[in-house]
Amino acid sequence: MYAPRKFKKAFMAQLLVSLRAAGQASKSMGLRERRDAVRLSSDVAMALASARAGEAPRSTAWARALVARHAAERRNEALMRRIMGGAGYEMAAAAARSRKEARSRRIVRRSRRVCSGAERKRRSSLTAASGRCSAMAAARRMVKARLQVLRSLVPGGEALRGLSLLSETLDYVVCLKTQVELMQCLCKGSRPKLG
Amino acid sequence: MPELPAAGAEIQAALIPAAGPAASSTASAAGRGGGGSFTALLGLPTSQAMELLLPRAAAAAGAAPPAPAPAPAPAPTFPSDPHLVDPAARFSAFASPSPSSPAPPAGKRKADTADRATKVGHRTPRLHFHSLLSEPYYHSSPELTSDCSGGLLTQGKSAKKGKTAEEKPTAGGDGEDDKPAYVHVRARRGQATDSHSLAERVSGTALVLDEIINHVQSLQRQVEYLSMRLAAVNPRVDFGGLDSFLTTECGRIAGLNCKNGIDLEQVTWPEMSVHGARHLMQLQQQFWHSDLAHPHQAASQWEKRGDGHPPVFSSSSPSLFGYDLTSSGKIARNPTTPS
Repeated sequence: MYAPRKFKKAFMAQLLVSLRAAGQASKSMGLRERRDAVRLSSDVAMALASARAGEAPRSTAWARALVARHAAERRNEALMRRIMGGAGYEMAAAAARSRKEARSRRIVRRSRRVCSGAERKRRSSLTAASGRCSAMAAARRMVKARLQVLRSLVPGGEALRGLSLLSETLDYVVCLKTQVELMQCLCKGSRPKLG
Repeated sequence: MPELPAAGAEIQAALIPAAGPAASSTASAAGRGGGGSFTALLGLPTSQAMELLLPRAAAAAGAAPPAPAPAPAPAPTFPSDPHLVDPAARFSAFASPSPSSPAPPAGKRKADTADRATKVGHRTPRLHFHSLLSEPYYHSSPELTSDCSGGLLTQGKSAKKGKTAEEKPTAGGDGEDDKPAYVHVRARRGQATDSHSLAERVSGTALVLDEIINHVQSLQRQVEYLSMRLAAVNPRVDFGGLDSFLTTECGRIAGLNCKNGIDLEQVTWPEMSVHGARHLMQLQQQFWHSDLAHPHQAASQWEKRGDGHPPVFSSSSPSLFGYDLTSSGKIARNPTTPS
């Protein structure tokens, strides 16, 4: 496993803290809420550990977006305050708000561009749709579609382009793998051992 | 690296004769590898991986989709040996018909490890993705973003040249600007302007992206399933009493304290308490600072709200944030913005 050991340790410690905080918050919740609480605490743990265990330019875009996404829901507020401290939660809420504004601004801009560029594109596509280029155009469309899907999967991916998207994906995948490993450990560890 | 000339000889031997039975055995090995075909490729040694890259074997290997595994099935194994992946990635650039000189361009390419990450070679998309992964974890991303994006963007705009000895960036059909976010692919010599090869290369990229997407989705599904399981196991999500037991147990499982002389438990909690609230505040400020420096954000927002909010805490004693943050309000008001 090529995630550094410090990261795993930091993640595990943070995870335990978050889960304990979640345990105090969720005295009488149903299964789904508990699952969401567990999910949230582990995601926040992952984001914070990734920021802590790395070197200088390590606060990655997906980590911020992930925490902001969790902070945007009102019902998570108490738990997140507990985990990150009040000031941290305020920063997360501010980030969530600004992210929402940025996203709506981007949508407006894109729709405007589509409207104005529609006639131009129609004209150029008629000329370029010869037999040779149509295969390439189809392939490019495939690549674009997949990039779009990837953007929707990776948190905070809408604002990223091309290479930074791939880099963030790489980071995110490694952290996800670590998360899965640690949670499996916890599962195994908390199963009652047969004598 | 001593592996280079040996692997080069193996490749020449592999390319020239049609290795029928060998391909079927490696195809079955690929099937056994579990998970995606690209990860299975790296379970094989270099020569067999090269054979797999020949078209018929590639078609067979590509047909095995990675199965999403919500059950605790083993996730596809990423390569843990960068030395296996690196020569494989280098040689994959020469799988197509230019068996004349794999060695000297390989010598040239030894240097630019960062560039390799974006080259999607002819018929060899999978191994190039793994050259991306084989970079050491923390050193890859800043180099990648700065080097490759700078290099490729300048080369993407250059005019079409004749066949040179260097690698050419693809300029075919690209009068387009960078506004739609394409992943730029670089061409090899003699193949930049061939439209069919370009189309193949772009669809190779699409295949790689497909596998990436499947992998991410399967990981996310696993996380959800495991969190459901954790929530079901504990009637109250209460890990207080199990702390020491869990850390030692899970430390051993996850291989956390195999090489340290110190026990995991003793290291972790003193680490956390030594960091203290001040470091945590700084860390969180750092965490959000680069996001809030973005031009879209109103950077004054969090400065306004950063002070003057009394933090709300639980009274759990060994909690990381719980014990000292009442005083951290004063610390947070210091206008120290760490770079």
